[in-house]
Amino acid sequence: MRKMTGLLTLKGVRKSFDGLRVVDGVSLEVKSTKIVGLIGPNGSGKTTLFNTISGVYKPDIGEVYFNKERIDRLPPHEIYEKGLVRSFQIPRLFGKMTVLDNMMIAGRNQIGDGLTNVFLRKGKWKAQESELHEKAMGILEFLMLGDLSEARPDEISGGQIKLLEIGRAMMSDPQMILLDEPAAGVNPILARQIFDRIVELRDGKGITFFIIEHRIEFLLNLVDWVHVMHKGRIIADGPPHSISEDGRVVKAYLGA
Amino acid sequence: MNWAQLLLNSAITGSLYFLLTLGLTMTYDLLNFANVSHAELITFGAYIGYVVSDTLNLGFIWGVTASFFSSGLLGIISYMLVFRPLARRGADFIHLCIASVGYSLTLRFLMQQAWGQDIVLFESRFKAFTLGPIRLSWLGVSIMAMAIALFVSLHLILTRTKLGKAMRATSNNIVLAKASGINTEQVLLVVWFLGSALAGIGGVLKGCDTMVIPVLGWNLLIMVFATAILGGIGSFYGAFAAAYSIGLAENLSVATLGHLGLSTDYKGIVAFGILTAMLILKPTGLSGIKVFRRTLLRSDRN
Amino acid sequence: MIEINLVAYFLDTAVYVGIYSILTLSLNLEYGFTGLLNFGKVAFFMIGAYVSALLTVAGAPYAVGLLGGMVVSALSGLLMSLPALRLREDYLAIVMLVFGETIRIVLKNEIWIAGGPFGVTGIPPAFAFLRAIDTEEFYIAINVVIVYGILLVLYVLLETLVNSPYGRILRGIREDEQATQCLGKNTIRCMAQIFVIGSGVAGVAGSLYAQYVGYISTRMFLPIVTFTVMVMCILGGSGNNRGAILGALIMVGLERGTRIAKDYIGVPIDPQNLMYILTGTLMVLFLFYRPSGMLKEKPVKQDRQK
Repeated sequence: MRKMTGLLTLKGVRKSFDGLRVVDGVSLEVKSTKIVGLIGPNGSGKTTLFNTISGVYKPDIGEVYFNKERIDRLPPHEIYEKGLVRSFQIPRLFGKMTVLDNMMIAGRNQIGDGLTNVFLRKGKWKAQESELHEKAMGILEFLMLGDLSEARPDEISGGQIKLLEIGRAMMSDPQMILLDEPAAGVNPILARQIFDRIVELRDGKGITFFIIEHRIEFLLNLVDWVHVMHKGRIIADGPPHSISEDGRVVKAYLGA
Repeated sequence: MNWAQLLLNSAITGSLYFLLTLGLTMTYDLLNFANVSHAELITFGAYIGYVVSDTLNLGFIWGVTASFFSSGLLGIISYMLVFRPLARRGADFIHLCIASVGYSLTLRFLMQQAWGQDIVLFESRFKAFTLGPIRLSWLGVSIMAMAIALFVSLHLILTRTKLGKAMRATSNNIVLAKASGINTEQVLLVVWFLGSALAGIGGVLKGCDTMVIPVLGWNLLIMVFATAILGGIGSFYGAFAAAYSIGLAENLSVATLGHLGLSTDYKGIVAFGILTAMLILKPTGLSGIKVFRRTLLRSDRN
Repeated sequence: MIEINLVAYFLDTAVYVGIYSILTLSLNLEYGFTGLLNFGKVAFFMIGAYVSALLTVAGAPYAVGLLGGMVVSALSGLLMSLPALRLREDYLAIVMLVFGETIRIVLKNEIWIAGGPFGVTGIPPAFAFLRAIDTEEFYIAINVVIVYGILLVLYVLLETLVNSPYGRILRGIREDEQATQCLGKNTIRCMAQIFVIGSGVAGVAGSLYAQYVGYISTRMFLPIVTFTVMVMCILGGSGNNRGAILGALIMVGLERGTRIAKDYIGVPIDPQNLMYILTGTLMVLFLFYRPSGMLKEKPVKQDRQK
């Protein structure tokens, strides 16, 4: 058996819907503290793959390993607790909560999440709330969203919402973040900012990123490695420069 | 055990459930919410039928006709006054369902105010006759005939007419249907009218068979929901099959309960059991038959 | 003019407001905060009433009856909701209605359990010394104290719960359950807990009701009670516990008001009919114009340290 060296390893993952193999035997590795891209034309199964990794779907066949531990049968909340976090392509913020609340709910291992603890360990969770508050504000400042903490999601711009999704992912001090099109629909300047933040987080905090982006040009200057997906399969993988010249990749994009 | 009689009774019950359920299953599918006020369309049909046929002495046929049109009209009014505006304001399926609960209360107690809480009995005009081992009345025959006629005509409409094709397309994917130029609003109005009108007919037939009370429709509602869910929300053929299955289950229960000396109040429990089992054990539908096109699980929604 | 005891009348109204407030708080927890629609709410009210009644008639002290009612209701809530938790909200609501109705029909038909349609009579009041001072006002006044005492305790406990990280999870479930799961929260366990608490609280209301009224039968626990409580929740403001109490006040006021309209002002509509016609209309109107109810939802209280 090939030794698993990656932080995240997939082996032969298959997921079908209504008989259609959306993810058709995907095996890949994402090494620790790298920024890895997942590209491919629309409909190639990238988001479904992310859903399968993060536990929203269970693979029909195949295994998913995180930190050498098998996670493919675990529910999403347990995978989160293990340090693998995922953001959504269309941000799913809680509209009736403030930006700050949206951030604070993302904290891991909150004592106050337990029913009995609410009453019996009030002092402890109150203290933790202060810590979470500070941490959330810190992240918001880092993302230059500091003054929006009391705003509601419908009061802030699309680009800010995208940044907030990333901020929320950071709240749990994850080891790895799955980003699903973090710069979709965002102007190039803001996209640049988002990607700069991602690099800072990798360098500063050692967070591994696995990013879906269907516009190659954004990723090629940013990532350490790229996987190319087409019709549910990985058709190529390698460092960015080799991918952009790979004939199969070009054909996949043109044909799509 | 008189099996022939049991089967006949089941056929009559099933026919009635088919009439009552069709409207509910269609609106549940098209507008994606459980319309609790459907019960009041049933009751309204029964009362109007009574007024026209007995109070005004115009005869049963006119009574049924009046039920058809008045319930149909009430259904359209409900749609245009309550559900469509709410949906346009962005109400989601939960709010529409709750609105239908409130609206149902309003309608039911208006009817109770108009006609009182006492039992209203139709003049018994349907002679019963014996055919070998079974005993039935012309009312029972009419109910079954109406269900068959409905099934056949709707099948023809759905498969042969332009309206039917529009209905199927809208039921399949309303956004796509609208995009391909179908007047989905017209389809919705037709479905609301027809479904409500049929509920009204079911109501007057049931009321004639037993009695008319303000909770006539409400008492039937759980069975109607069971039929709709068993058959698959939005499925015309499914509703047909489910209605007769539930009719059979109910009559079997009554016979068995009688034998066991238990109260016949429990007859609904079998249907409750079927309904619950369907939702809990097989949320993705019966094997082989793609019965559930609705998202049953919250996790399916996104 | 019929002679009425004004003091007793107002105290009596207050008791009902209190009991319905507790019921509405329980619904608010499930629906207002967590988004779980429960059309079978009355069943837990009924279970609490029946268990408490049977225990106290058999000689148990009232506190045991109250506790028993609460625990059995809570357990029932768990049992009934567990199989259905993954269903979409409206199917969940329908399943709970079906379960609740089943229990009611069984209770109504099986005389050996609890008197069937005749119900349970002669439920002893809470405190023995009530029989010592034999005036109506005193009896009702004591009940006011009991009911509002319990209401206060429940209010404080529930407010603590919803203004904690746990409360954040509830709101998250209400808005987007899957996203909440993806943020590390065990939403299924949470929802089961909420049903347990909600049902238990409804059971408490049932116990208080049984011991106040002294007689219960299944006729008092029809689905329309659930819908009435829903209106209270929506009118007052779902997602706001003070709103729940306000909603209860409005509805009981409506009930009393329609009766006064009939008896004293001579409005020719049967009060019960009028009440429900108005209730239904109010419900629809509020969903149109003020879906959040009269009192807005408050954000999760936090100590802001700037």
